[in-house]
Order: sequence, then C-alpha cells, then structure tokens
Amino acid sequence: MSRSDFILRIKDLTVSYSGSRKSITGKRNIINAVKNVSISIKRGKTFAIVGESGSGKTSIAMSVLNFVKPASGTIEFNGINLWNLKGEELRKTRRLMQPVFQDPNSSLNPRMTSERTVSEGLDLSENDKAEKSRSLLKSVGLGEDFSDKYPHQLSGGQKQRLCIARALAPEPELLLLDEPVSAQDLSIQAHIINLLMDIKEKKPITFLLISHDLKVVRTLADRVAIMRDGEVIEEADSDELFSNPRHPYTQQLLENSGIN
Amino acid sequence: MSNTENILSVRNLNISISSGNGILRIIKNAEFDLKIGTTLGIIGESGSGKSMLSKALLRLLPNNSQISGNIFFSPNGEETLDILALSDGKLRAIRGKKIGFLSQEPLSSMNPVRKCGKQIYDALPGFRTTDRKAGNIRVLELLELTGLNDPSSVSDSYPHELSGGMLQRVALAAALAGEPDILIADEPTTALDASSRVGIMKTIAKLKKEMNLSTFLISHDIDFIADWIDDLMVMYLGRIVEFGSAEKLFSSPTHPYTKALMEVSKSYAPNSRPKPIRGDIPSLDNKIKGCKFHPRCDSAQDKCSIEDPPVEKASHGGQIRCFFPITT
Repeated sequence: MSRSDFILRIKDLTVSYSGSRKSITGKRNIINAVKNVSISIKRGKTFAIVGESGSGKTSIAMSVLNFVKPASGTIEFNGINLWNLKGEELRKTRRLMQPVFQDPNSSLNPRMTSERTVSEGLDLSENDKAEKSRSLLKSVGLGEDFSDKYPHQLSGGQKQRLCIARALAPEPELLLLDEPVSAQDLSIQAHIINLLMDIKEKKPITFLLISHDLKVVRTLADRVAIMRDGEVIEEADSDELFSNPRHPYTQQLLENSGIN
Repeated sequence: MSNTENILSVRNLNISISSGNGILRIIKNAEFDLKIGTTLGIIGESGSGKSMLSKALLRLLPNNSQISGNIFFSPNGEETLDILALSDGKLRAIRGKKIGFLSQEPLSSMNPVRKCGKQIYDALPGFRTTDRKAGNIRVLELLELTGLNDPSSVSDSYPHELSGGMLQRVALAAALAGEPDILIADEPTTALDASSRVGIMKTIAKLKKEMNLSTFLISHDIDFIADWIDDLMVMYLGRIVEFGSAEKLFSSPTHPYTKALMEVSKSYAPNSRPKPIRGDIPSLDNKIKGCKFHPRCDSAQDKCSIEDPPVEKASHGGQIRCFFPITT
C-alpha cells in the first residue's frame, strides 16, 4: 500500500454515549459528543484540536485509540479503516499510535520502576530491554539515575517525561497528546514543549495535540481545528488561525486566553 | 494585636514535616498580611510550598507536621484570634465558615453520591436543623451568585453529571455558604478551560466588591492572575522571596526568580521555543547552601552560595529576599 500524505483521516465521525433515562422502562437519551467531524492529518505535522471542556475533543482521541466505538463514520490510519481491524492486525496498527495523557500520576503504575515502565511493551531480550529503555529515558532528559526510580520519587515534570518515553518505546508514527502539559506549572510546561519539539526534529513523527491552552497550541501546531459542542467550527493553518480568526467563537477564545 | 486594615496577618510562620529521611522544613519564616477586601496572589513552581501555606492557614496540615508562629485572623468587627492557638472546637467555627476553601479539583472535593444542592446545603451554617425551606432557597441563591444559569437543575444533579467549570462553581457556592470573610482558593482555575476560568474569576471579583471578600489566590499561571490580584507573593522552596503590590511587581520585578517566572510566559511566541527557567526546582530535602535559588539564578554571585539572604524592604515598598535585586 502506498503511504499517502495523510497519516490519519477521520471522515464523518460521530461518537455517542447513552445518557440518563427518565424512568426505569424509559429510553436512554443519546448524547452525541462528536457530530460528523472530518479531519485529515498530514504525516509529520502537528495537528491540534482545540475546544473547551465538553466539546468532544477527547472523544475523538478515544475513537482514534480504539477505546470508544464510533456511532458512524470512519477513521483511516495509513489508509486502513481502524474499526475494521481485528486481532493481530489491530494490535500491530495500534502500536503505531501512542497516547500521552494529561495526568501522569494516574497513567503510571506506582509499583514499576522507570525502566520497567518504558520497556514493558517491548519484545526484546532482558539485556536489550535495559539498554533500549536507558536510551529512551536519556532521550527525554532522564539520566542514568532515573532507571530504578518509582513514580513517587519523581516530580510532576519528570513523570510526564517518563510517560513520553514510554509512548516513544514502540516507535510510533503518531503520538496522541491529550493535554500533555496542562497539569504542569509554567516552567515545566516550557521544558516539556521543548522536549516535544526536540522529538519532532529528530524523528519523522506526527503529533495529534488535544488542548485548550492556545498558547501551547500556537507554539506547537501546524494546523488547528476548533471544536464546539461536538462540531469542528473552524479549521486552518496555525499562523492563519491566530492572525486571522474567522469564526466569532474562535475570536472569543483567543480573547479569553489573552492571545492577540 | 488588632489591625483594622489586615484581615489576616501571618508572623514568623514555620512548618516542618517529619518523614523517613528526617525533618523537612517546608515553610521558613513566612510573614505577610492579607488586607481586607483585596485579593492576594501566590505564585511559585510546584513544590514551592504554596499549597502547604494555604492549608496551614486553616490548620489542615497532615499529622506529621509541626507548625510554629502566629496566624492572626481579624474577622470583620470582631476581636483578633490566633488561629494556631485556637481550640479545635473554636477552629471549627472558622473553618469553612469565616474562612472558605476552594480546591483545585472540584470533583475530588465532593461526594459523588450526593446531589450538588444537598452538599451546599450541608455547608450552610445553622440551617441543618431549623428551616429547611429557607436553606433550599439559600442554596439556589448561592448557585446563582456563582454565575450558573440554571441553579435548580444544577442543584438537582450529581457531581458526575456536570462539567468541570460548572462543578467548580458548585464548589465555590459551597465555599461561600458560610458567608466567609476570607476565601482560600488553591489553583481554582487550573483544571478549567479559558472561558470557565474567566467566569470563576469574575465571580470572585464581584464578591470582593459586593461582600468585601478577601481572597488568598494560589496559581502558577502568573499571566492569568495578573488581572485579578492586588498584591503578589512569590514563593520558592518554602520561602517568600518577594512580596508587594502586584502592579509594581509586574512592571518591575526585583527578585530574579519573579522575573524568571514572568519571562517564561512572555517567551511563548509563534515559531519559537518557550524558554523555561534553567534546571528543575530542587526537592525539599536539597542540601543547597545560601540562597536556595542561586543554582538557577542569572544574577547569582559568590555570596549567594554562602549566606541565606534575609528578608529586607524592597525598593517597591514590599519585601524581598535577595542580595542582588534587579534594579531598573
């Protein structure tokens, strides 16, 4: 299969959840968290999905990662519809996209050392695992002494670096960053953003960034989609969007976050 | 010691925690005043002791901590009390009533199986056994006060049914239920998106105006709180390194750490890299001699690594801990 320019193509994606019901026998309400969203993400670029809480940005990520089944629409990764894959094929494809979540505390196993955390998913001999995990930890700025440490011995920023190292371990083509810095303070945010930019410079990797922090988005993203109530209301190249926002909602978002 | 201007005066406050590795000094010689009807912003990186300080104000510290010094609280029109010297019973009359507390994560501070309105009701002083009807009306008033459009449906919802922004407003309503003189808000907007953040801060600003509420506002987003605070306190590793009027500090910070913090957020620009402060914040059991900030400081000189700078009066009228403040 020829590798197209687009690593990820989302077509008419709708994700729904069933809500509360009025009575015991009553029908459940259906809540559409994502409504007919189409997005195409170019290989090697950073695509950002921006929106307030509840706008459906994480639901898109969840469908891409195969966690939540879409109600309709397709998600093509390298030209293959993800939701048609099964078994070994699905596992192989899923390795190629790795998530980094907002809260490193809840995504790390408190009883695993850094080295095990990073190497757990690797199919290598013990020696190779140790070597590979050390070089991965080094690449995110965690030196030798961090290999044997447990999450509680790390600071918030170091934990997030560890999560990034773990995500990089299977050599993914797509890194899905769901609010990767919003739990960190400003200086650590800047450290992590620098790290992400370093990774991008060294590897041909695509980032799908989900964030409500426009400052971070402007720094990292090449293209931006703005979401509200499950719909994409504006999509443009980053420079264009920040210098010339078209939709009134985008303009208001920019204003609220003090960017002009 | 009565002072009509300051609702809260902290003097010579020291906090330490005994852990497996000995005693850690978490707050060292903290001294500051919170003026009536003003908002005091506290900034600093994670691990600088901001949250510990805010918890100490209500004696909410863990059991293995030692605290010394004075926290003088002068409620509107009443005599001054030292919070650290109060009996548990008397403290209960202040905690959550005269001084409200709003935490960073609204979801974790609420009961997941109790409706929001009921939880605010529980926080109402005196209503529990007397007038249920009046209590319920008061709950709706409080919810409306925090800027929620549909107080009755929110009151009837469980925490998991609400968004983060709505939930933080519910938590704010509960914190205000006791009609506090002081609101301690520990990163109240960090978990929220831009417009909810502005909404919460507007509510606090309104209460400041209408009820003369004094707020102790912790944040790490120096840019964001700039618009909402009167005074600014900068903390680094348990020390108040700079304190003064926010306006003056923002226009001309004199402590190198304050300046470094401000530059981080200024360094965000399109097509360039943000510049973090050099290195990471050290852990609390560090063995750094002299000024704790000197290994990361651009203006550090030999003296900084030997002696710990004392608290001095700063050129902007506030206080500072630095041998070589920035002069402009």
